[in-house]
Amino acid sequence: MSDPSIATLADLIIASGGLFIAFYLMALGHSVVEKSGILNLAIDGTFALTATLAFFMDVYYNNNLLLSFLVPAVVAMLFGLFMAFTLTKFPVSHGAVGLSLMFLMYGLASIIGYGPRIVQASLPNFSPGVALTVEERVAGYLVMLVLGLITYWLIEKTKLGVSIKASGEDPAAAESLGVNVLASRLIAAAIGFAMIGLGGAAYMNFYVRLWDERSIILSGYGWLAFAVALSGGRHPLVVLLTAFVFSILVHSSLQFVAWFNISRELSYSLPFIVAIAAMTIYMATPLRRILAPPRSLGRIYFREERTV
Amino acid sequence: MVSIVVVRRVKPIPYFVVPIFALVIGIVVSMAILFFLTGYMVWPTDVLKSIWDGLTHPNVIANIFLLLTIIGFSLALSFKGGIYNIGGEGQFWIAAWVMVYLVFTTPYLTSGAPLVSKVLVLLIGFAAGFAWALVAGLLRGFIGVDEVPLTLMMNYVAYYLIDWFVMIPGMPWRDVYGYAKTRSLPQSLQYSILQGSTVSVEMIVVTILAGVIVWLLLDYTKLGLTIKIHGSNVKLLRSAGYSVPLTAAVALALSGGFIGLAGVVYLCGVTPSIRIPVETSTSGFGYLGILVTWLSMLELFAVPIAAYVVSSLYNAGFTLMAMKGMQQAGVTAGVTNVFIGSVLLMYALLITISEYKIKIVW
Repeated sequence: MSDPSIATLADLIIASGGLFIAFYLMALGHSVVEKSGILNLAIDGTFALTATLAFFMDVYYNNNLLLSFLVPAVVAMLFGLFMAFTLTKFPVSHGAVGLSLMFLMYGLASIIGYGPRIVQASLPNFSPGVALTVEERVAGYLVMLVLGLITYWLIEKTKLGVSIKASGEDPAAAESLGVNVLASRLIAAAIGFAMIGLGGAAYMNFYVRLWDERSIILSGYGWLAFAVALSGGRHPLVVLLTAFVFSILVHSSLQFVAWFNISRELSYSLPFIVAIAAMTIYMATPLRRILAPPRSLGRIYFREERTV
Repeated sequence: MVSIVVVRRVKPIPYFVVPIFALVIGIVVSMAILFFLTGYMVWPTDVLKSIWDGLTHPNVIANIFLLLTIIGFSLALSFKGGIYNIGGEGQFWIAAWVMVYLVFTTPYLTSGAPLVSKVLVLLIGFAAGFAWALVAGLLRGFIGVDEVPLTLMMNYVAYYLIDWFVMIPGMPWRDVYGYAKTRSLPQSLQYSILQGSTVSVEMIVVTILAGVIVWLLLDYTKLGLTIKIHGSNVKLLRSAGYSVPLTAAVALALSGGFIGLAGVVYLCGVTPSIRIPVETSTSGFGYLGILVTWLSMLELFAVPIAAYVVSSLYNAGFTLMAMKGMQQAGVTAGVTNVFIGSVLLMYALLITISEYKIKIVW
């Protein structure tokens, strides 16, 4: 067993840059959605579908990165708008809608991904996405920092952000004070789901760069992004830290095989064990109070026009 | 200006209407998705034919039907308590794995009469599923971790732990030819298939027993009552002096225990070894069970009906795969997920209409 050196850790941080971008975008988007009170259990399905769509665009449009990011973001946004509308307009369970959309998106990803995968097999020199240089990875970290600051400003310092947060804390009170809860949630879902879509595309284009059901649909990385957001209290800047930790952990899980002489399969389970531990620590410590979740998160809210 | 008006109904519509509507509309949505996404290769008639094949050939879907019925009963137990156990997959496989582990490391487990061994492994499966779910139950009950993401993530942990366990070199359960699977269970544990069918008496008996026990537990015991009150009025439970966290933990654990039975039945009655990676070899029974439970509206008598329909949908995915071929149409087992997602989504949305009228006014 050999100890990881500082140089190795620095390499690791650089190497996991693509994954960090993916995790942070997904967790940040998820945080924005949940700030508005919408419990987003569709995150893993959204991840699977958008990563698959990015792969689809890469294969059929010759690695056109603009399309490879734009299409997943738009599709994710449409799903988000659907979710926000139904969950605000009707007395519908957040959990049921989120989970059903997750399954639907798994299915869509499975069907959409299969065709380009066959096509890719006939293109021996083709890989989806781009191999990021060291400078690009460092730039990726910085861009995410800036994005985090912008999102923090948006949520904490603007009227829109206050409306989104009010909709998540107490939608009935917010409505009575003049906040348009539906509009706030639609905007939050549009922004948040677009970010999740960009995260899925980043995972495909900057990190994994291959498509198969196991590495995309069955990976559960959307759930890791869920844990990243939750353990970071859905705070745009704290989530930077948790996304960083998780990206290092996931990326280095294969390194653990060599470092600690554990099996590959066991190393795959570690991020999930850590995610469960992170959620538990968050709930069991004052973090729960300091980074409190929106009070109405996942609670059914709708305006009943009249009772007969 | 067009607006949507939601009005509470004076009298709720009959409860069986929603699942039927959800099923019909969900299948129509699935047909449209498959038609367009496969480049018009999977026609709606293909989908209907594949579903019809399952519905009219009980022998083809019998195994899946029985497994989903057990899981449906199990999940109904926790769902009635307002505890959403999405970790059925993990509980199913952990129970199967613990059984395999003990069978190959504890020879006396299979040295007695076959019936005794079969009962013993069922108890082991129950205990393993119970223990695995109890971890989530305790975290949910006493710390307040949301059970949905928690149990979901525990599924992945279970998958990878089993993938690891199965491949540990030199262990007695390793396949003798080195394939990525465990050795087959001893003959004494394998259920004998009824002549002219695909199922065994043992599977049928376990399914009926699981249903009866869950029914008795929920309707005739104090524990069942507390679980149901937990699902409807936590404050009442607390004010009556019962421990809310413990009730939540026990509901989740019991649900996992019964799903553990399904894991054992799967190995003893359907396939006698665990193939890895389990996350790809798995048929997603834990997730299909959620669909069964929701479609049954948590009514135990309706669980087998919902399980039969879901088994047909499940079978339809594979029938389509065989009919159209993966290479041509991109139709994979993921089609099943389209069915699950569409029907569940319709169910989640339409459940509103049982209590509310939705009017569009302008």
